[in-house]
This record gives sequence, structure tokens and C-alpha cells, in this order.
Amino acid sequence: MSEQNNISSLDQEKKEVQALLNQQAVAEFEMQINTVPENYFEQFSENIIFTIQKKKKPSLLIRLSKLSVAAAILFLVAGSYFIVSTYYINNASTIAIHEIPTVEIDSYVSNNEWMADAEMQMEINKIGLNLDVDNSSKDSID
Amino acid sequence: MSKSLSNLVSMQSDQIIIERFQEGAEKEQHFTELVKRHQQKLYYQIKRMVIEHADADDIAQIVWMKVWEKLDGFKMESEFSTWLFRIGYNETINFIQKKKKLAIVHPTESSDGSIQEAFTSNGPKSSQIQIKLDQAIMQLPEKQRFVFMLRYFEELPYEKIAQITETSIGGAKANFHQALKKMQEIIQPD
Repeated sequence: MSEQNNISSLDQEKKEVQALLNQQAVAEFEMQINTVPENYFEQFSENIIFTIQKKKKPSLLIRLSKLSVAAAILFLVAGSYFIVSTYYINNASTIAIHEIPTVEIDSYVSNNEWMADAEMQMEINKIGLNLDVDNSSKDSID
Repeated sequence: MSKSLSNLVSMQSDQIIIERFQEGAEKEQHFTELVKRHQQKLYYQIKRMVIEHADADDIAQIVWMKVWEKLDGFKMESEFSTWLFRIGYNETINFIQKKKKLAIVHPTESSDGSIQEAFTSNGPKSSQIQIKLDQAIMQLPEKQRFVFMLRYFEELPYEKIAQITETSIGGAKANFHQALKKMQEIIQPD
């Protein structure tokens, strides 16, 4: 139904246009529009595909270059981590006890003396209880 | 086969080609099929707007490149041809506006002048009536011109013209009749 309406209104409009415009001039206009270089449409799709393929190539290069930048950053980070950790390991392994100055050892001991005393007292207490048990048994024999 | 049935078959076939394109296998082959089906109508519509072959060819290439880029996201909510013509409409309007701006910056490269030249030099012997018609067409605002061409030469229904030009059906009808009135004023000033 709507298509019939469309056709009738289109016919009506065409009549209006034909009444207004010179039909030969309209035909010449359309002829001019329809004039295209030879084999234009035959080659057009090929040209489009060619352009698409040409556009694809740089994008692949861009993708590759992005990947290579990412790889370079990863390499730098991993490399610097490796160098830093190796440096610390080497430094740690070269320090021997005899290379530490006596003053440093003394200050370390004095700073941590109370801690060492407390630990020792705890140990003595543990052992001391046991000794007491042993002593009492001895006393009873006497 | 009736026109509506042939349209339906054509639409279904477009749909199948697009689905296959979107599946990803042999994209270029399916795309070529779409180009072959629709290239002529699109080209002629663009050429009616810009007149020169080189311009129409440039715009048509831009349109098809955009179709290639966006076809994966095409949801088939409208006919492919409607979508294609909408891209064509936008690109043609962009092109004409750029050319107008260029003509303001470089007055020697007048867009209207080049179009007129294209009419008179490339075409067959131009009569006074022919020249008057060409001038009348070229003096129409772009949207009115596009709607007039789609309706008169492509014989599209207003529903489709409205979708292409992103306007209402009433707006599309008004554009056609305004175009007709304007041409009448130019051709028959008295």
C-alpha cells in the first residue's frame, strides 16, 4: 500500500519536474553524469582493494615497531635489574669478618649487649631450673 | 519479480555477504562483491553533486574506504545501500564545503566556476536551456540538491531518503519541493 502511494506520488512529482524543466536538458544532464572513462567500473573495485592492501602494510609496520619498542623497554628494565642485583650480591660476598673494623664490632656489641644479656639470662633460667632439680636430688642423698 | 521482492532478495544477499565479511574469512573477496553491486549507483549520485569525474572518483574511494573500516561494526539495522548512501552523503557534503572554503581562501579556484566549466567543456553541446538547468541545479543548497537527485533520478522512497540524509520524512519532502520551487524561480524568473 505504502509502495503504491510512493509510486503515485513519485509519478506526480516527476510530472511536476517535467512541466518545469526542459526534458532534453535533463536528458543531457544525465548523459553527462553517465559518461565515465573506459573500464572505470571494471577497475574501480581492484583499485579500492589495492588501496586497502597498501594501507594495511604500514599498519603492520607500526604494530611491529610498537612491539619492538615494548621489547626494548622490557630488555632495559630486566637488564638494569640484573645489573643492580649482581652488584649487591658481589658486594655482599666480598665483606669478610676480619675486614670489619673493631670499633664497629664493639659498638654493635655494646648496642646489643642488653639484648644478648636478656637472652643469656633466659637460657640460664631454663638451665638453672634443671640444675636445681639435680641439686635437690643430690641433697636428699646427703 | 516485483521491485519489493527484488529489493528483499538483494538485501538478503547483501546481508549474507556482510555476515561472511564479518566472520573474517576472505574479507577482500566479499568486499569486492559489495563494491561491484553498489559502486555505480553511489558514483552517479556523487557525480550529480560534484559534476567532475575526478572529484566523484575521489569521494567514492573515500566512501568505500570508510565502508571497509566500519563494515565489521555494521549491525544491519538498515539496508546496506541506505548506510552506504548515508556515508556518501556525508562525504560529499564535506567535500563541497571544503571546496567552498578553499575557494574563499584562493578565489581563483572557485568551486562554482570549476563546476560550471565542467558543465560547459566536458559535456555535449550546451544549449542555453541546458546551461540554465545546470546553473539552477548548482545553485540549490547541497541538501536540497542531494534529496532532489535521490528522488528524481534514483526514485527512492522518502523513508529511505530521510534515513540517508538523517532527517524526517516530512523534512525530505520539504527539501524536494523547495528544490523544485527554487529551480522554477531560477529558470522562469518572471
